[in-house]
Amino acid sequence: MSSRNTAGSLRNAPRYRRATRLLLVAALAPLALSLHAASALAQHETAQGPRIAESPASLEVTTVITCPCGGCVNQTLHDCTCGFAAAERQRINEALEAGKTPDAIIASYVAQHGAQIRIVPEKTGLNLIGWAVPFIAAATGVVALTFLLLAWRRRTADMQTVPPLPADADRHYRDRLDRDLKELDRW
Amino acid sequence: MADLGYACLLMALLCAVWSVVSSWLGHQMRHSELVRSGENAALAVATLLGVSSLSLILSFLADDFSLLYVAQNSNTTQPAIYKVAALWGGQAGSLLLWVFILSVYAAIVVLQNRGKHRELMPGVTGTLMAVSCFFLFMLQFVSNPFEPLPRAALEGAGLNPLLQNPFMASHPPSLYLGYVGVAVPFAFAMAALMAGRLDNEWITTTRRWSLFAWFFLGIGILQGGYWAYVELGWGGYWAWDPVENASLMPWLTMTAFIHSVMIQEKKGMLKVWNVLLVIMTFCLSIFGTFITRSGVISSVHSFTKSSLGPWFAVFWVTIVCVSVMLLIVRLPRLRAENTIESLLSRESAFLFNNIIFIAIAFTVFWGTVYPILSEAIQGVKVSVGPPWFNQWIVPLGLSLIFVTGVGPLIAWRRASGQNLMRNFSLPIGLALLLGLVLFALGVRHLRALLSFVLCTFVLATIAQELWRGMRARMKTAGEGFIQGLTSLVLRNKRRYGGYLVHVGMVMIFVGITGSSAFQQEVTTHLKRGESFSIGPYELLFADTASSHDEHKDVLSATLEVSRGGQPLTTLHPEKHYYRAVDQPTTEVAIHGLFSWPPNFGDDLYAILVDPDPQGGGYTFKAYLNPLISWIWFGGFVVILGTHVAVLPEWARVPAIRKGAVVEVPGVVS
Repeated sequence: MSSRNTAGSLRNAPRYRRATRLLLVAALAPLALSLHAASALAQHETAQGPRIAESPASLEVTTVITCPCGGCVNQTLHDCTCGFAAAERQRINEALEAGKTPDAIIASYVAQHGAQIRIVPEKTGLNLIGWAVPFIAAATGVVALTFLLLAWRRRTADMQTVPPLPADADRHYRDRLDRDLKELDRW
Repeated sequence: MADLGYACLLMALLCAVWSVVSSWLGHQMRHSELVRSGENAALAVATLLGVSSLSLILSFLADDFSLLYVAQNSNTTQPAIYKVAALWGGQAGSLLLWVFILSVYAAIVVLQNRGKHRELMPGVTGTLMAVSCFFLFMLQFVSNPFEPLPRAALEGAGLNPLLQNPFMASHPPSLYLGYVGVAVPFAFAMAALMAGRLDNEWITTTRRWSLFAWFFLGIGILQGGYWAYVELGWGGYWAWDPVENASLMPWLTMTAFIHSVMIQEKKGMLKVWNVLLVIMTFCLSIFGTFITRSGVISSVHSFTKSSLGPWFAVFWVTIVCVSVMLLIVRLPRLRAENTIESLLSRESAFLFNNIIFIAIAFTVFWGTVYPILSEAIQGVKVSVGPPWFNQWIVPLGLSLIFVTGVGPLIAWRRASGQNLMRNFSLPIGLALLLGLVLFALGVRHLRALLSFVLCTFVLATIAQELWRGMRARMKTAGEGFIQGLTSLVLRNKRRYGGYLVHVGMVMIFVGITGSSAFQQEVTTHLKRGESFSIGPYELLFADTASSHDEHKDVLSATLEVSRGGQPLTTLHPEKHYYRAVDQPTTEVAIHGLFSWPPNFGDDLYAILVDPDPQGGGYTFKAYLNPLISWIWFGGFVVILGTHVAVLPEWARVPAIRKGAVVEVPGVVS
């Protein structure tokens, strides 16, 4: 009762009201931050001016093939800014203009540099295992943990449901043991 | 100078060997003088390696090109800061730095525990010095930084141009402080297993060490990301490169450990799991050093390649076998004191948090080693790049954010419906509301939307916790806003420091989401006076300038940036042509958080791709990276939170007055 009164009087205090306002602002900070995020993300204006736009067909190749210069590991031809990558992009455009399909161009890169020229392994053959292992491992982990937790919970519940032994259980047991031993002596 | 350094290395190896032997004998024979002798030997190792490292630095500063390592990594015109940084610019120096840091840690541990943990100390000293022995052996017989040249070179080759960046002066030492720091909890865990003292002693003793290692690994990773962002010139900060992965894996398992030790401390559970996590973390730390230094996997960080691989592999397998064997032997004594009562409890949430961290670490590990496995099994080399990692890491990361929001607020033992309603209804409502707002504002990227909703959920849970704690302090202690907040945080530094770290991590997630899901890019070919636009920015190509110094020729472009017709800033993307290296390097120009005037919303990132002398024009690439500054801001908040969590005990506040009713926020004990 007294604490309620204290709280009630505090609610009227200017300090409490000021703090409430400040904390309201703090609680709404996520809203403000998200709005800031949204405004930053909403800037999808179309770019103007001269540009070198990669065609969709070119992107099919350049986002799959890594830069073969040797220095730009894990960068696709699309991302890489080295001179070698620029020349390769030009080559790809020329091959596309000459009528080659993106798949054929990718195949020619793989034939020339090996499968490692692709940014990720193809989802075929043994590589399927490579793709699936993380999922299998994570799923196994979650399922195993769930079973473990359920088993623990059951064990805890069992421990809680075992009725406590009556205080005189020990005496009953000793009396019965004495009786049994006496009967045994008779034989 | 070099002779002194080499002699110190040799003596350090002998001292380390003696330290291992005397610690072991002292423990077996219960002979305290032998144990003390081992500890003194560990102090001597630190001193000797200090002298050795200093002599190598002085050799760099004196341009002593009679040493192969100095000639390979420095030259006369290299700035002094990079001459010092060249210590870790190559393989041998990195190993020296590694073992020097380890020896300093060992010395600190010895000095901290002169009068305590006497049962554990022989094992701790022995383990730390055994690890030192391996590295000192490598420095003596495989990769010697003091190896002389048959004839002194007149000039050195110089440090790799990509490494001549301020962040490269601090990023490797940060990472090494973390990598090596992991050795201390590992050594205590091994000592606890050896001595059979499997209570919480080793956990509480190493709590600060664990946080220390975790902190420096994290800061090192962030610095590395920033270095990649400003130096490699591809508009991103994380490429799932094997060396980046190598630093992330121990950080992930260490994060899992930092969370799960709370369960052991409070409930006496997860004892085996915690030992296993520490073993995993240390093994991954050694694996990281191995990956970085062996060149076994192609990486943009493969600045050095060598024959270290087999040695590290043997060392790694030895550590795994010995530590797991010790664990198995002690399994019967590591039984949990309690069990979990409900799936809906804080214990369960922490366990799921651990599973997610380990799943992410395993996924990163698998993606990193898969090229090696593929080559060994199929005979085919493959690359595992960002699309592979993103496919798995994004959903796991989103689950992790969710658990980050749930874990700190859900009740211990068993959460009731009332507890769930009380703690989560407001945050869930706010998160959904903000999801709707973002959707209404035009955000349609599903994963990004989910990420923002989950991030809001976590921030709202933390804000709610602070509010409840503050209200309790204001009601009961009659404190004002600032005083209430300060005393709330200082009375439970670990909890509120942890919350701050969570806020920082959420900010990092927001930055990653924004910059990866909504990045825009433009590639353009311009002549002077032409312009292009990206997002709200217009960039006018004004001019170029050429300059040169002793090492390189520099081509610099001037891009005048305006927004809505108003001049904003001028960017100078550059191309550096180092004479000693075939390939030019890209120096990007960024209008972002660290530019003036600072830009908080997004980064405008400009690259001079290629001059085209025939056409007379220049190729530029520009990226617009929304929210990327949140990553760096988040890093600062993580730093702040970690400091709060480890504040010493003197930072206390008076207790709430006697008899006052205290509402403990979100916790049902």
